Amino acid sequence: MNSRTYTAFAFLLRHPWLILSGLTTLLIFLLFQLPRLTLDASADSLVLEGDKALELYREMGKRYQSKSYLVVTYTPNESLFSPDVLKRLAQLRDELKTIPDVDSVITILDVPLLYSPPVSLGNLSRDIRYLHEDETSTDLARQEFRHSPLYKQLLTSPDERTTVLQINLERDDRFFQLLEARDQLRSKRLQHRLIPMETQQLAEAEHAFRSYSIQANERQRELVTQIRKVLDRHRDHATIFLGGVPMIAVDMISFIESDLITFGSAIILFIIALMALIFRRLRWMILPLLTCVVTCLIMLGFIAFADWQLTVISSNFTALLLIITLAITIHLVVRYREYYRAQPGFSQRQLVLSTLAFMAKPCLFTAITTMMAFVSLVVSDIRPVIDFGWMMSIGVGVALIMAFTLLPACLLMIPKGKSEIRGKTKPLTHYFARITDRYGITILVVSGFLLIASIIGIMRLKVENRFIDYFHETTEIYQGMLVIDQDLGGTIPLDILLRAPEAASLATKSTDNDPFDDDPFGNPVDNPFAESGTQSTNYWFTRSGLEQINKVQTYLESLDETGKVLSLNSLYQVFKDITGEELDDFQLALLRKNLPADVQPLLIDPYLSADGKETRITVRVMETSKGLQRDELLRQVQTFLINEMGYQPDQVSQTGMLVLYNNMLQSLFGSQISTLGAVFVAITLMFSLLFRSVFLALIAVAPNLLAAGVVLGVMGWANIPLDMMTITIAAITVGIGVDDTIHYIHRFRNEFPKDRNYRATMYRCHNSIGKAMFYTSVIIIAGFAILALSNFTPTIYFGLLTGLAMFSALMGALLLLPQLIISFKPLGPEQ
Amino acid sequence: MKHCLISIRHLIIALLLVCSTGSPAAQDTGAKAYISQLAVQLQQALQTGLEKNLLDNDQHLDQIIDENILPYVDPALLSKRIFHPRWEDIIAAGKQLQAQTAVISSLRRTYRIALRSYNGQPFSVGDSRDTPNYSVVRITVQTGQNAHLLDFAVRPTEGDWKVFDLSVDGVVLSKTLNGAIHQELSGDSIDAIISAINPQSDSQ
Repeated sequence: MNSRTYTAFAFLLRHPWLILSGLTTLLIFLLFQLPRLTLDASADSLVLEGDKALELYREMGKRYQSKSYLVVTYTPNESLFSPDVLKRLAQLRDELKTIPDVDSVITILDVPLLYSPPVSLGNLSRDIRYLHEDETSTDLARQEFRHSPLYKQLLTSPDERTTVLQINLERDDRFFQLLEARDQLRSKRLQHRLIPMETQQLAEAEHAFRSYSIQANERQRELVTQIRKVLDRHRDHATIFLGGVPMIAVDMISFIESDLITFGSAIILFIIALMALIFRRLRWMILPLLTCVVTCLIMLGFIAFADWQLTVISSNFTALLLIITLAITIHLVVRYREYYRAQPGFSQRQLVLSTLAFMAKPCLFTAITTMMAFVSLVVSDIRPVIDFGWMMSIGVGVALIMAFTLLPACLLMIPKGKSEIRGKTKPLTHYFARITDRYGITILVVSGFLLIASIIGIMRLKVENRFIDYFHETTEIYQGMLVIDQDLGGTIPLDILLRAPEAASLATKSTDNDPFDDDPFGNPVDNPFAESGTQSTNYWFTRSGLEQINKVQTYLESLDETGKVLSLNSLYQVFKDITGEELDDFQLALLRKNLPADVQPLLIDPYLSADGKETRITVRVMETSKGLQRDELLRQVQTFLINEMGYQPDQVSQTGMLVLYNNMLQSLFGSQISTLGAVFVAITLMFSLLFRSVFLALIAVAPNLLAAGVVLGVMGWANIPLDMMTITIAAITVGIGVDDTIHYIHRFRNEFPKDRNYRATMYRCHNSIGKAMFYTSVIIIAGFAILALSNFTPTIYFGLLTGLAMFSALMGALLLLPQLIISFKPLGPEQ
Repeated sequence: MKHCLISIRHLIIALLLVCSTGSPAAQDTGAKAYISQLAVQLQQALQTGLEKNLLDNDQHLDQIIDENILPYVDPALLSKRIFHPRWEDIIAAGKQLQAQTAVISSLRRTYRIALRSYNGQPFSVGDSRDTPNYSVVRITVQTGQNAHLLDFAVRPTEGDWKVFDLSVDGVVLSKTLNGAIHQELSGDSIDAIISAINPQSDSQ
């Protein structure tokens, strides 16, 4: 025992009530911050930070004035096209329109019908019909929704039982202004150092954006609630699902909230039950629980105070922090009881101070290694993962402080209590020592086999997953996505942007400026339309441009994973259908010029940039497709565009949620390797410093490496993909797993000099610190297992896999680690 | 009774058209009157087609175009403008007729689309803008609340006026088609330049 540490704690705990008062004040202050705690599940929180594709995606949204939207799938009990149903649909549409922040609602009643009957191009404005008009033929409209190049698989399902309502939301210009202001300063910071004024501006921009985002999220939540209320009024005559990114974000926030509350509470109950079972003393139930709860509340208050937001990834924050705090606390309690048993004559103060002095070093190092493991997540490029890493690192620090202040201060305020002597039965961990003693070689062989199996499993790891699988089948997100995917042309948007070649752009410009200025009849003034400056044609809205788009669209439609594809080609096909002619550029220009005012924003503006140099093809990808390989799909499309269509790489861009999500997934491999690499290097260095032996450090790291390998290997073998949440498991495993190793080796080094006998020391360690390790690990495993009850699949995987990882780490610490110590004798020869 | 009403309408339109050409300046009279005459002729043909429900019939439409439009077009000059600056090369290759046929095919398709949707809209001939070499005459076609502006560039050729370019709602035929084949115009193949004008030359 270090006497200096003992003295320091004696000084610190001279007035325990002072510590308790200080902590109470801090807790009260932070509790007042709790209402400011917010959750973020926006699309931005699911994509890669600094991703160029994200920049392009936002630019595209601005250029094409894309609006955020929600979709409602509507399957009436009666025939969709019956007058009653159409009337109800109109009523639903009108009710939705009255909700604040809803810009427009597009239904089958409101889209221009071009084939019902076929319009004449000279009189588009006059001939276009709408289903809501009395004189429109419902039968023709049905045919049009089923077969039209524009509406096929877009507005009604092939069986005509389901239709979709698109709720366009008002574009939040303020949000985008603040975002742009922040991003400009961020990118400036990446290019060069900011001057102090700019740094200040960036901080203000970050704060302004975050504050506004919180408000925007709140408004979005209110909007979704209002929409659901309206939908509820219509559910008696139809099956209705709500879908769309804003709704998914809102529901995911509900899941996070539910997980925070449900699993936080479940784990608290679990702690009470387990502590009662293990220690059978009221004080050992209440005090560890109090330490855990106060630690969590302080951290949540701090997160709110620091304007941090919890995300899908940090939804397990409370559960994880409770478990880690509990682990530290249990080590202290077990050691206290050991001292009490060994020195029944000690006063309460002596017992407490001896416990703290003895445990300070291993607990400090376990906390530091755990913090380092979480800090390693910062090297990933995914913002929620980075934030989670920082939150947990700080949380572990707070847990350590609470365990070494709150717990002992409380203990010092109460009497010693009854003797902690229990029966003489051998602890379960004794049998692990016996197994190691008898089957040491077998343990090494099995570990070797597990290592090989893990490596093979790791090689099978994949990042491709189905977003829909994140949610339980009973959730509206799952059901809505399923209906949209199967019947209404796919869910996840992929946007393909094609730019005109540079030379062609110049040509168009030159045409705009009138090529005849120089010589129609040999005299510059002899040009009748020289002053006709505007040229309604451009590179893409020409026959050759449209034919190119047609080729690309045909290719995209031929892919198994794609659903509805929309582009300028859709309108081109309609034009060709209704004219019955092949069209040249003059006719196309005339047609475009004469499009009715309400058709242009619907059928042209979303697919053609204002300068006419860029066209956009939107593809809806079937998220439910079992064979969906996003990266492969994107590569395949890119190859087609470059090799088959002959575009230069700088003419082609792919963006949209599919690309952003794929980029994030693809970064996971790299992130996993870098975070694991960082954590192992850091921990090996830490061990070398702690044990003052690189050899012992390597022995200590081995079981943890195996535990992390096992969990990744199992994921590989079980086809569980890496995702934002599972990527954190390996680092967490190592971070928490090494705690057992540190405690074990610390105790081993203390016990070994007593007889310099490795096997005897192993038995002693297993019977003492081994128990604490066992208890904490069992609590952690069972605690994480509770997460399997979540509605959110990544949380389920996270719970089960972390439990498995902890089990592996425990087995590594109780079987492999002692065997390695016995085999390699890192503490010198035996006597 | 119905027949009688239609005849009265014809008469009114014809009168309107004649009145609109009532008092031009001396040098304008030729171009404007010429276009007015064409307009009357065309409108009559269309009215007849409309009454007989023949405007969906491609053969009938082609007949109207062949009789009332194409004879008054100067295909050589229009082609020269469209194939600028490769017209000389086309002539050198002896393919000017082929090129003119392609241009006429395009024009025919455009007129087919336009005429098919004719629904009795009145034409009104406006003022002309004249230069020593050519005149531009504007016709306004009213469809519902929209007015379509058709500008015909005409010039005297062999004692008669001929249309050598036109613009519909600001979209100029020669400029648009010239822009459309810009890439081909910079290539070597004359055949490619000519066939680029028509989406499916072989079907024309």
